[in-house]
Amino acid sequence: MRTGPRRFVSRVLLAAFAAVVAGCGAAPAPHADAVTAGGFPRTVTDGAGRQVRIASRPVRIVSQTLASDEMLFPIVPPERLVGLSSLSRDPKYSNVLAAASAHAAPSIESAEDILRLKPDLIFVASYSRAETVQVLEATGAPVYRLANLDDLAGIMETIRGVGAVVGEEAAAERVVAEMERRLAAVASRRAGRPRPRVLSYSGGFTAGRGTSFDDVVRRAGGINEAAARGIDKFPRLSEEQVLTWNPDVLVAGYLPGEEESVRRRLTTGAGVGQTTAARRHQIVLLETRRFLAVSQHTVDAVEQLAASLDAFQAAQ
Amino acid sequence: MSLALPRPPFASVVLALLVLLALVIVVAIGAGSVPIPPLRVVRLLVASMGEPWSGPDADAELVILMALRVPRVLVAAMVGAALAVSGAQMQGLFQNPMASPDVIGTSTGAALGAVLAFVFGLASAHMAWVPVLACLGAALSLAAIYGLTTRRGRTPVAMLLLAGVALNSLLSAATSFVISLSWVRYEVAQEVVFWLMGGLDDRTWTHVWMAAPLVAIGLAAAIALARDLDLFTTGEEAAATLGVDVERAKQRVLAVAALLAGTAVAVCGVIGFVGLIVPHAVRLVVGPSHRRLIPAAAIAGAIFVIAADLVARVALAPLEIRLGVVTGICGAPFFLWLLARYRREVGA
Amino acid sequence: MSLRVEAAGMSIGGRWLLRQATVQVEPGRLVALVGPNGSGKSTLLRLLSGVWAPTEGTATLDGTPLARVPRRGLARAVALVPQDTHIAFAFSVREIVAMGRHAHLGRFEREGPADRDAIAQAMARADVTAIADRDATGLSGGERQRVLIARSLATDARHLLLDEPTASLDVAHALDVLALCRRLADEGHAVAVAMHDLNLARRYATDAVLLRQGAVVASGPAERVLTPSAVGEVFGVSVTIATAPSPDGSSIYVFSRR
Repeated sequence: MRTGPRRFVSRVLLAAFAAVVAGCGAAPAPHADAVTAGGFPRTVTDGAGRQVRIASRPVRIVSQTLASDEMLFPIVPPERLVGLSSLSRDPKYSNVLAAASAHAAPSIESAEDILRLKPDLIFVASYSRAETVQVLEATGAPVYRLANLDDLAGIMETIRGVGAVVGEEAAAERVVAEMERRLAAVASRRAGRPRPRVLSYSGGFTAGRGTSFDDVVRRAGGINEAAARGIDKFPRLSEEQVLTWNPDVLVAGYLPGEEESVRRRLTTGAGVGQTTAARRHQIVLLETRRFLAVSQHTVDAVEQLAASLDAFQAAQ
Repeated sequence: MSLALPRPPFASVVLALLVLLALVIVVAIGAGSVPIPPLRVVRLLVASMGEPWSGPDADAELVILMALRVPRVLVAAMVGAALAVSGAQMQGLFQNPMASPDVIGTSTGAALGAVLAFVFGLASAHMAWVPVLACLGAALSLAAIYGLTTRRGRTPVAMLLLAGVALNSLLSAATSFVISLSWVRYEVAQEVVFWLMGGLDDRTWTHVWMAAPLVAIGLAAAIALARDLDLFTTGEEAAATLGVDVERAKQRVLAVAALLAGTAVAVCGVIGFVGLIVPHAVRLVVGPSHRRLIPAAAIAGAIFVIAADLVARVALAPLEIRLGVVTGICGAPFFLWLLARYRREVGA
Repeated sequence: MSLRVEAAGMSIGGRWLLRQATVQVEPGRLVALVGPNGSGKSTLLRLLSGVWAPTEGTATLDGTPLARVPRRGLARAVALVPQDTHIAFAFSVREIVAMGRHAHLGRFEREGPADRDAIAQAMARADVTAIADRDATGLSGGERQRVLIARSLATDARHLLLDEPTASLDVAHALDVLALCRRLADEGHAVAVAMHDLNLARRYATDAVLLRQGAVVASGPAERVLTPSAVGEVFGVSVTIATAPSPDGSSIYVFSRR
């Protein structure tokens, strides 16, 4: 090998070696402690499959994501929350606006904000960067990563997990039970009724398989047209494509104040305006905070969609 | 174009730079959402040798300092030194003060490697993936450049330039393509685009330990090659007759420049102008001899990036500006200043 | 110590720039390589300096092929002063001359007293001491040429090869440079100069090699090689001799088109 290539190979090997060494240092050792009801210290498995060890009941909880904020408010006394995501105070997206706005805890913008609060438990998103998690862990605070909240079963599982890690399993169970009750009510009402073809079309993007929307449509008694066509996640869709598929029902999210303009865009768009859904005004508009929710508030979306589907059927 | 000779004594310049570096380090470590005055910074740094900085009993300020600020500033310093020296090497290799580390495409290759780490979900899994794949990308780009330009042991410089342009175009197109495909998961796309703009947020000690040996080796090698690079100034043939192994020297310079630039991209994303402005400006003060230029540029580069990162964190707090944006903004005034100097010299 | 090419030729991309050239550069001699543009003078110099390896024939230093001579040893024995080159960066004159010591220094070694002496002497011989601290990119063509000569002298090389050194010089400096070359030859250096000014060649060279279209037409002592008929033939001109009333009674050639 000439000098040049030899140098790179050694360089790459060096980097890989450093990474392996770093990796050995970073992975926490699993503990064999049993999870005793109400007992601390305990070890729980977080949404990413990591073992998280909690030394004592967390009383200085920092939540970095809106989803964990929404899950924590009903199950944890407010004084145990010391940091909330900035989105929790955003009226466009937050389902806990009133409670969060009244809460004294500061909004979290950066890792420094978190560390300043000296937390004893930190919730981060499933997609948070690994180095952020590592920085937070290096200071001794346990970090709980939420799971992919892609369907309601996953959301319920996560709520239980959150309950377990903060030591409020009973409260979490109550929230989950309420969700199940409401979902069962919708399911029984919609059972046996025809299932319309529903397509999400918001800002030019649709939602296919592996999204919470997909599960919402199914539980509300509809068929997710994008999923049926083999679409995954959130790709862009042209209006032409929407027209070709010609769904029965269109669903979109809207920010407060934009409801009319969103509706107008769907009914007068060159392609989408010609669909069955648009011509029959079978359009369901969900407030963004309900449309994008990945917590117990997702059930609100299921209920609203189911009610609309019932109304459309009755109108025919 | 240069300042008139004689130049200021080299030792004074280096001393001044080191003092400035120490100052900027202390100020940068003290700045953030919790401002810490300089004296306290120094006291905390000293205390960190003895006190713990993790766990529930540690001083909150010390934790923030040691877990967040110090690694960040160290990485900034290394990135600045690496890019400045890499740029100096490229300028010496191409005998052109307007050359920069990205000319031969290794930075773009590193960026593509990192983007792939994000898109395949590796970045959330372990923080080492992005730097490792970035280094791999840089190495493969360099191998490609060699393969394209070197025949029978000879690497013509004109061909290097062409091959670099070609590779840059190809790799940027590939990167854009990968990003467009990944848009279906918008959090990933957002991470990628942000990373590509460069940034030192959440740098950890692991980044420090990964980059340090590579940067140290690169800097040492650059100094070892300093005189060879000087001799290129009257052409390759003259250098050969003066005793330089010209082809070997070119290949080594390329390798070192790629190592430094690749490591910088691996831990910081893509930031521009450091590798162009810093060596260019330092050369105006200490002269073109690489024995002096390289150490001076390394220190000046460190100062530049630490300062740019400081501005990025503080200017629009609590919003953090991407580092590449800050260094990019520095580009325009620098070139306008060069233009004005040139006009004055030429009398236009 | 003699530098020699024997039956040497160079072909690049299928084109022969030089064929079957045999030239020797010996201490005490100043060899003028003379010929029209494209006759192979620069090629010959490159073969003699080892920058190019001959496609045919050999290039040797004391019998050892140049390719086998260790790089630094060759640099200390043979120095090439290129035709005026563009200097991209603002090195000082002294820094450029100091580059001549490269082959004498280890990779991390700094200049020592011996090196500083060599540099000072070289600058004095080439008459650039007065501009030692000036920016090399701001020099006139002639000054730059003298700096490059100084650099070659700093290498302590026995063999000095110069490629068209007088091309960008005014008449006074051209005379100075060639007078210096002749002095160096008289002191024991082996000097070869590619040039196209025939009168200067006749005046200063001890030996000459006449080239045309890549072939050596004649070589040997200067007065025997640079005859009016030979020169006229190679350059395609008519040559008449005029004797100028000058202190050394030298004659010059006057040229006119045939």
